[in-house]
Amino acid sequence: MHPHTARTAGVLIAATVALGLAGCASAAPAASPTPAQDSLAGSITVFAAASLKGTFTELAEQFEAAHPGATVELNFGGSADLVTQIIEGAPADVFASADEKNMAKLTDADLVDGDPVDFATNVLEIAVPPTNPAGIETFADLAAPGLKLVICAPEVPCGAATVKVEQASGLTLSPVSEESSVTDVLGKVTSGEADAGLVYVTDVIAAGDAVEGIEFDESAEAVNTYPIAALTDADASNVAAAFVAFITSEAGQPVLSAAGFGLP
Amino acid sequence: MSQQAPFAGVPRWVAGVAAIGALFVLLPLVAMLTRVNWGEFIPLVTSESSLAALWLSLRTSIAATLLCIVFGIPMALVLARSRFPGQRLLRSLVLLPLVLPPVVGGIALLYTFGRRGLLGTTLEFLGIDIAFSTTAVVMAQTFVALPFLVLSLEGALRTVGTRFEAIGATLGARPTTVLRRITLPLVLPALISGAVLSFARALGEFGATLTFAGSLQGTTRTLPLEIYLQREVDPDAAVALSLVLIVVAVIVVGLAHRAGTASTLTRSARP
Amino acid sequence: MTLTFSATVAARGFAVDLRIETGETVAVLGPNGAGKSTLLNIVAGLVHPDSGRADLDRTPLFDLDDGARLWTPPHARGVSTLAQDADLFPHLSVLENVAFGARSKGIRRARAREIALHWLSEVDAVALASRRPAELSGGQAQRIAIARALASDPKLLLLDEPLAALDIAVAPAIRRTLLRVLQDRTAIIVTHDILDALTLADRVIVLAHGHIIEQGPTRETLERPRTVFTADLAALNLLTGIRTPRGMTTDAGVEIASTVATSAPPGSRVAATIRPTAVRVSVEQAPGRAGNRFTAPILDLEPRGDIIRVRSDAISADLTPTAVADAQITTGMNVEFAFDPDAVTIYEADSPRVPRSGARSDSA
Repeated sequence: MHPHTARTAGVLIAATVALGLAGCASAAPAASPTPAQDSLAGSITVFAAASLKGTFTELAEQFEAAHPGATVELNFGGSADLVTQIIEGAPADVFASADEKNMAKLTDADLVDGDPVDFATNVLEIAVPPTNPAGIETFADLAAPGLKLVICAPEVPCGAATVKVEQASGLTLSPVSEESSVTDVLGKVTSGEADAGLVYVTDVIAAGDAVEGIEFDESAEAVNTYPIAALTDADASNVAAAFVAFITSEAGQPVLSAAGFGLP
Repeated sequence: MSQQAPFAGVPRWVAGVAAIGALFVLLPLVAMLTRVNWGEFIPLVTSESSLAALWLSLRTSIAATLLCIVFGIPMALVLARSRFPGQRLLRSLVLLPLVLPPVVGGIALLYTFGRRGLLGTTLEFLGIDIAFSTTAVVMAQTFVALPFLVLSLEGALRTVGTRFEAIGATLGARPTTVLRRITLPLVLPALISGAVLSFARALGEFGATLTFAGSLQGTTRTLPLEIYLQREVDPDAAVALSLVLIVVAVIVVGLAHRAGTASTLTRSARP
Repeated sequence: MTLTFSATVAARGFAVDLRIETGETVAVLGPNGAGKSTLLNIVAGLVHPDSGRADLDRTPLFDLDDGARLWTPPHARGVSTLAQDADLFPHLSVLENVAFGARSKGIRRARAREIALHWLSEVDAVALASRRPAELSGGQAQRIAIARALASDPKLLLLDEPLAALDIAVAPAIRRTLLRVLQDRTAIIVTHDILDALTLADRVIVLAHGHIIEQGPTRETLERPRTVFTADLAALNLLTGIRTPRGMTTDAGVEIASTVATSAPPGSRVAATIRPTAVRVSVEQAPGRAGNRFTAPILDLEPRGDIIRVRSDAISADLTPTAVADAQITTGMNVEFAFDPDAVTIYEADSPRVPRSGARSDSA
């Protein structure tokens, strides 16, 4: 490498590190309550379901602001993927799942410290492209022949919910695609390929103007409950416990409900 | 050993480094083998969804390979044998799917052939509906597999040279006859190995299929997509199906190797 | 099957006009880079000239003169080529190779086989019919290549140094085969070997620097060359000058004595050939002594088989290696070249045997 290039690279690396550290450093305390435990210190890694991305990022910032000595690393993904990683030894301290089935896998494997606590619920909502080209109004409209409906595959949490709703309503859906993740379902709706998709309420809100949401009564038949738990083998177990308590306390609720989650 | 290998001058430490590289590739395969639930293997692999996925994968990969051959041969001929402005640029672009992340390829296909894509309104007008269909799967596979065939064939065409074509012409053979009776037979080994590689690539295609075609059993859920889904629910099934894919891939690569080395050119006239 | 041909290629300084009659075999000789292969490639249709026109058997091969743009592709010309490498199609059997031309014309498989077998017997190679090219020796392959070229029933056959890649032991047999099959054929054979020309050709054309510099009946041209190029090819020394009663005076003003009978009258322009083997070389110079003597520096000592050609500017001598070593001759030395009057053959040589239109007015 040119000496000139090496120097430039060094400057860039130093700058990036500095910025990174500045970002990780606690932001100026906003309107969050000053807690009693300022002595809380340590770093934890939180594995959370993909649908919790927006909310948990914000909540983690609030947590770090309240506890300047604590750092929260977030890792989002499909609940089943995360469970597999944790079982194979990935360094997670806290796990927030999109459904109880996946959390149960960890409890069965004796990887959970204490008992999981439910902190939010989510229900399905119909998502359609803006202007609703297929004119969907009710859940029954989804069974219209020739409709390009995209849903989650039964093997994933949102798909299991879809099956429950389907059975409860007595309708038979014929989707053109059963995706492995709700993100892919949403993607097909936002790109205009699908006339309608079944996603979570939180996904519709997060997508903003890219989709229109249509709520339906039958969604109450399949409520996904989100549990969170600290894991055994956590490095900073007091920070992990504190984070779990924060999420499940009243302090965490405003953010969750703003995103569309229901009460546990 | 009845014969000694001729002197090759390879330093001894090279074998050590090569062994490490080989282990890096082979150990994950061994790890998979240890995780297979052998007791449940047959039921897992012959379940309805597994067979549907396998059958769909084979059908679409073969169709994609045929398309690669039909379009790849002319492309390779033009790139190897003619000269026109912008040829090098065209060559780089044609090989783009090799380096493009498959998901990006799928997105690009969507933006072209999707409902709102470049050709979307035209296709809709013609009554052609591509998204969510098996056709979309074949298109995605062809897109990623084509460069393999073009590359393999183009290299061989350059190596073989054109002197036999010239002789054929002076003997009275029209250009199409020359192509049929001289050019293609001479590069047949490269054509076969290129086609086999294309087939393997099409078989393993995931990202572009997922983004462009969707995932529905029997229509668009190929074996890789089925494995991706089974991960959520039945890791044993995922591993078992992965093994099936690996075995097919090994067979395919073995065939490609055999075809590649059985070159008619190694039997050309002695001086 | 008369060929009339005229073409120029500016980039190679090539400008050639020629005509070949039906049934004639013409040898094209010349040093490397003279344009021999260019000529064949243009006739075969594998190279585009800048301008020119050619007709074979009164059907045009190409016409690029006066704004015309006629170009018959190689496969429609009826011109077959034979090169020094047999270049048999490696993926076809010998029989399939030979039948290729016929099959390309649409002749049915069975009939094409018959044609192929006929030509294989013409070249004494029927026993090889089912072999693959990789199994053949050089001589065998070349034989098959001859059969293949002829089986396509060409109007004109082009041979590009067909014997050059063959073993010395094998070449004579192939040459005999060629002699037989070229009997009534119109053919052009490019060669470096005088023996090929003498054996196979009715006429020779000498090319140098892309132009014809001499042409004529084989024996006459090669035994009585009029240009140094031709003399070189024929391995003869050539001196040009004016006839004198005792011999001739060269253009450089040297008197040469000759006792060989000639019909050239005194005062006429003549050329004289002296075989290099008849020239003696000695280190001591004796200019006063009788006989033909030249003193000149040695330019090159050229090994040729089992003799060494000692070259100087005007004259060369062939000596045995022993003689060269004994006399301690080296390049650059001034030595005396001497030859007897009975070694000098004089003949009339008005001007080089070149057709008037040999050089085109617009050639480079």
